Amino acid sequence: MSTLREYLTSERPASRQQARWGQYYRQWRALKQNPLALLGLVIIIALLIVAAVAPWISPYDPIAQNLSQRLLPPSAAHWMGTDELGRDILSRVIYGTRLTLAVVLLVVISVGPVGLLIGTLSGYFGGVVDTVLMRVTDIFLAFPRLVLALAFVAALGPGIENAVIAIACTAWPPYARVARAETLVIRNADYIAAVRLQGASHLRIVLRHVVPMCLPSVIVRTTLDMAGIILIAAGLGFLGLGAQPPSPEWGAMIAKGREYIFDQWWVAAFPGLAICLVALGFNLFGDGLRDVLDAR
Amino acid sequence: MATPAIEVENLNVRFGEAHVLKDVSFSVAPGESYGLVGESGSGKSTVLRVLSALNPNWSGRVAFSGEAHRARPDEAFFRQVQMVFQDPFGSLHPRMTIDAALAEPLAIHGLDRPDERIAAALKGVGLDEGFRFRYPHQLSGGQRQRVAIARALILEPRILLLDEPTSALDVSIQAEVLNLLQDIKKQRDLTMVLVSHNLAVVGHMCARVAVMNRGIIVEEASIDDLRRTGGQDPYTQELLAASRHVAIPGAA
Repeated sequence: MSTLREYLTSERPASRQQARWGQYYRQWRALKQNPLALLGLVIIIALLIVAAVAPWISPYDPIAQNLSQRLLPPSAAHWMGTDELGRDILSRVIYGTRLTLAVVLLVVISVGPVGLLIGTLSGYFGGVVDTVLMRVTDIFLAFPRLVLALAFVAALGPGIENAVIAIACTAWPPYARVARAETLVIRNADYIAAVRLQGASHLRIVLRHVVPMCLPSVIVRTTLDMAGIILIAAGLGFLGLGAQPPSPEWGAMIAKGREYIFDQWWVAAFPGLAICLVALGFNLFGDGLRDVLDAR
Repeated sequence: MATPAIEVENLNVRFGEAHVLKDVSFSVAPGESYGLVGESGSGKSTVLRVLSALNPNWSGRVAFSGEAHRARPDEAFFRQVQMVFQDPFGSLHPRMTIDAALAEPLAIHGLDRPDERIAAALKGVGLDEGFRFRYPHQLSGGQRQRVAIARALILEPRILLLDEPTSALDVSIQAEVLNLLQDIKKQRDLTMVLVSHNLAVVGHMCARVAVMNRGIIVEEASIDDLRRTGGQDPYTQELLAASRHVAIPGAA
């Protein structure tokens, strides 16, 4: 154990890998100082584990209906009760992690690179490129996100895939803005002048030298945004435009539970709690990550 | 006389309304060290930015070894001319190890044996292998400037441009870096242009200097002449008198 620590904290790393792991280790130590960020990380890891082992830990089939057992309150047999079709809510919440994670990951994978590229190109080249890209960004920013996502889903047709596309189309502009602002500062730095003086092409400068500098703020922005993405996905589900029944999507579950909210509160409350918890987890972690990655 | 390594004739640079360089002319012989001194805003750094192609907006005639300098030069140019920047804290990419920073120019120009070249470049500036995989924030200012020099030299340029290479460093480190540059120049037969506001630094490195004020070269003379006569132009005399109060240890 002590040799591993020596390897990681060495002031004289002997290889590329050791230098990189040492850097990760320093960031991890900084993250460990922040208990709230760790709590966020624990929530995220728990979410990942639950999603991975959902079939084995859920007590019932999330889709199987049992009309003789509808709207039962929480009990030893059904920890979170049952819904209007007699389905076990705990099982549905557990399976819902998969849908939620899938939406979040797909959106993040598509939005991060697009926003980053548009922002850095806009900031680096300036002039006409900047004007065109930023006005397009403005157009997307001019609409409230949920409204724009609604318009996209309405055009594409309801469904979880289309919800992902709609959310991705509305989520990239803030990333482009953040990346552009960073790039405007970075492009005048001496280290960029130095690579230009080495004869590097514009593409190389943007991808290898500008993007790594913008990456931390985009990553932080992403983790903070994940809560919002979950809520929009839930919102679309709530409006019946996201995941379609009978798939156990948290937003759709709340929408169904709304009818019974005064007499059978558990139908809406538990999926709501799950959304709340996961959004909180991503937010806390993102906050901690900002402190770690920005420390220079 | 042989073709000068650098020839500048009637170089003019305007930034909007401001006329930053007015008819600047000088030439540097191969293997010579040429100094440009002047206070902040005199245009001396702008001259370097034109020579290094970082500033493409200029008029006049600039030639390297007889070949006309273009505003947007090709890759081969950058193997001939390299530059060391003033601030070693700003000129190294904060998220790249020293190894990655030195590997970048080799990758751009497709040079062979990168590992050996990087090791040799570090050795050439007096840094041992232990520094190779560190990040810039794990290095001191003097060590960073050595890395910046190694990066400039790794492409084996004929001409090295130095923009106040020591002014961001502690006084005790300045002499070390200057002596390193002096040694490198002797070994490699480099042509150097050194920009500084510090006459002592220029005096240590260069045989010939041009004194700049408000975008004009007011006087060009050998260091020995300047020392003996104290300069012809009143501005030179003023600058010389001011610099007598500050000297660099080890640079006498």
